[in-house]
Amino acid sequence: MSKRLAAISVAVGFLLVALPAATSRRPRYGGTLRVEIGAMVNSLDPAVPAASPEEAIAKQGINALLYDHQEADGTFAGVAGSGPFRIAAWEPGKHVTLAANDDFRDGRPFVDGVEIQMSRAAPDRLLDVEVGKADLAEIPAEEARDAADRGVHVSMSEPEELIALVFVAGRPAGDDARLREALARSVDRAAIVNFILQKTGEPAGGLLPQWLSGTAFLFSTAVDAPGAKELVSQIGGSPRIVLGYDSGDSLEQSIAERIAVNARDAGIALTAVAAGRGSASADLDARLVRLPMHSTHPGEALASFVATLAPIGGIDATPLPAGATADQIYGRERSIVATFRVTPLVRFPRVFGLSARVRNWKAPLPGERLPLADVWLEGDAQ
Amino acid sequence: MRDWHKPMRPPSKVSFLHSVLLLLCIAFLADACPAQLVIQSPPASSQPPAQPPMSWSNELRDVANKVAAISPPPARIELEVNNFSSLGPGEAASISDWLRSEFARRGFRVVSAPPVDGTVTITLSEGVDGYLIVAQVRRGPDEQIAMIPVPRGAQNAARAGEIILDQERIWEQPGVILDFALPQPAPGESPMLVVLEPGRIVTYSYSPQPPQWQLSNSVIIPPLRPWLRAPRGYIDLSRGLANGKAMLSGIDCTGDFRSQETVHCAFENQPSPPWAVEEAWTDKNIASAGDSAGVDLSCNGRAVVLATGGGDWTRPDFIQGYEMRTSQGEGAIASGNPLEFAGPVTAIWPTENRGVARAVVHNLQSGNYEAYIVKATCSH
Repeated sequence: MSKRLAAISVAVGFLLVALPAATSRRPRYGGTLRVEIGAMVNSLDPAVPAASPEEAIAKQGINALLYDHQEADGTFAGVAGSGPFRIAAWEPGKHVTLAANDDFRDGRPFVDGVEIQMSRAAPDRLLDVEVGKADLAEIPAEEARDAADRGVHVSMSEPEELIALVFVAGRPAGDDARLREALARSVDRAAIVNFILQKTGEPAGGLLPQWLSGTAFLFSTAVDAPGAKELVSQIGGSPRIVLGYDSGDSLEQSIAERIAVNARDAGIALTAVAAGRGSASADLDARLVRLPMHSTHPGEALASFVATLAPIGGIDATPLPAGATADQIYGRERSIVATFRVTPLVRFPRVFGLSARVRNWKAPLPGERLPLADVWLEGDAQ
Repeated sequence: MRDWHKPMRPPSKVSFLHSVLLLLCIAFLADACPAQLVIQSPPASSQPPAQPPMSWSNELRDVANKVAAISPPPARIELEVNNFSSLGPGEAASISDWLRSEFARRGFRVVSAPPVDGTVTITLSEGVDGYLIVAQVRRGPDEQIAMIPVPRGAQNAARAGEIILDQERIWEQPGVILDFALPQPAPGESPMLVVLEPGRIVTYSYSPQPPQWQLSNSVIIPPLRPWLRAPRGYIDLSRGLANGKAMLSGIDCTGDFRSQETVHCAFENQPSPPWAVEEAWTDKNIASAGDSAGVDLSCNGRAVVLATGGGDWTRPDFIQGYEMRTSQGEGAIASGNPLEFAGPVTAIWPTENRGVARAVVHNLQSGNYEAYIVKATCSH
């Protein structure tokens, strides 16, 4: 060992020993963070397309820990291992073990490593966090209250992911703006939040959340059954609307079924049907769409939503001007919602279950990588 | 970078660092500084209750202008002011009062019952980019909306209790600040600001013409391997800038901070670094606190210590003044109102000025690191 390395080792050794023994304010170094995810990630190569949105999101999350940073266009900068962690072991589709990168430019992570177990179903993830077999797992928003009741430490982001009802462009059933408006007015968003999301979320009248834009309060979220009935009566008979939801998404299914009930009460004939994710919309007049948020800039977040919604609903996809003002962003949002081709329904946070030994965890903002480099583990330090 | 190139305002009161801070307060972003560096104004002091926050005055006048343009006076209007922001009820009430007065001054008759010519709803809102004043003006079935953004301001100083704390934000940057120092300038010399970062010591000198801070020196600190994610840092200028010392976890840098080539950094065994001593004292004497600084001040015959909260680095923090019951520090009594910050106080150290500490805050809203001077005084 060179003299320089020896000196470094002495200095580092001293530092690790000199840290306070039992305080949660100052970090502790060491330990392995055990993470469980639901997705199956078969390749971490950014160039290899993911087989599903879940895999894409999980792969993105893991790669964000491996690469120095992410460019605005979503590509990763640097080489794998230039981020806070590098791959120590990798079994495609099953698990990946990450080791702390001592040379990371923002400093070595506090934990020595991260073990990520894949393909764990939501109930199993929650159970593993509950019994201490896992330190961190994302859990469905609608199960947050149950998790907290079971004693799991629950961490939530700001409400960010939106579920919206989108009328498919070109389908005759959605041609009549009065019918689209009637359906939008008939939806009881508060009931969806209270009963389906178990109060973990908020009704959404606009596309962007209040905490992001500051203008969400300008969009009504109130149910207006009389108004809906009045519009239906003007039409003189509603064509049947076929509303699709992702067959593998129980939350979407519950929401679609609730919408069908609300629609029926307003005199609208609507059938909720399971559909393959991303499948052709030939038989669907409308579908539920999940819109995860990827940016904390209102203009960028709206642009991302529009990019998803425009091909389905045929809404105006003209980009906002660079540096758009709050007024302009609100104006675009209002113009989209006013067509009733897109009806925002509910917005909910990302929910994480944490074991008792996890410290310094903060739910990431949209577009941020999971702050696993900042987390330290109580009672498992060197 | 967005909207950070702001001039600083003069402080609203004469302070202990008057000579230096007056200069700071009119400085602009130094062109010569690294791109990420910004200088931000110190917070305004407490306002009389009937007045809006000083930094909102222009925006509130804009609101009144826009409402008047949409619905010109004279007119009978119903005015409603809602607060969906993080402003406190008192601040929102002040704004509401001010708006009512302003509308009346402009010839509106603000009424609370029909008949009315229009309804004006002012909402104090907030997004990630700052506050937003939204005016909804309804005349019959028509509604027009005007929006006026307001940048976030700093919080006011605490003003009650035995120990009064005042804060002055003097520097802000996106990169990590471990410690900073504002040495008293020698006669005839420009004020200096020293900022200790994980990888360098940066010195700025003040140039009055044009008024701005200019990068003076930047000393690269050799990287520690493995590079710690949360290194501690401390600047010791007790022997002057010419004999400065900057300590990081495992590294000492010494030399004349005004002269880059004289500063030498080396790995050192640090058996009792200042942060270890401070943490041990805090753990023993103010168990609920995270870090503390004795500031060479007595109130009621008791030594004054300023201490942070005890939470981790994911949440807002505060600095609280404590009176120590004995010289050994047994029995700390929280005294006065705390200063609250939008993120953890990552460092707090005494300065050479009586009652004064320097503090570094990681603002969780902006993501920036902020350097504050905190002054404690006795209320009587």
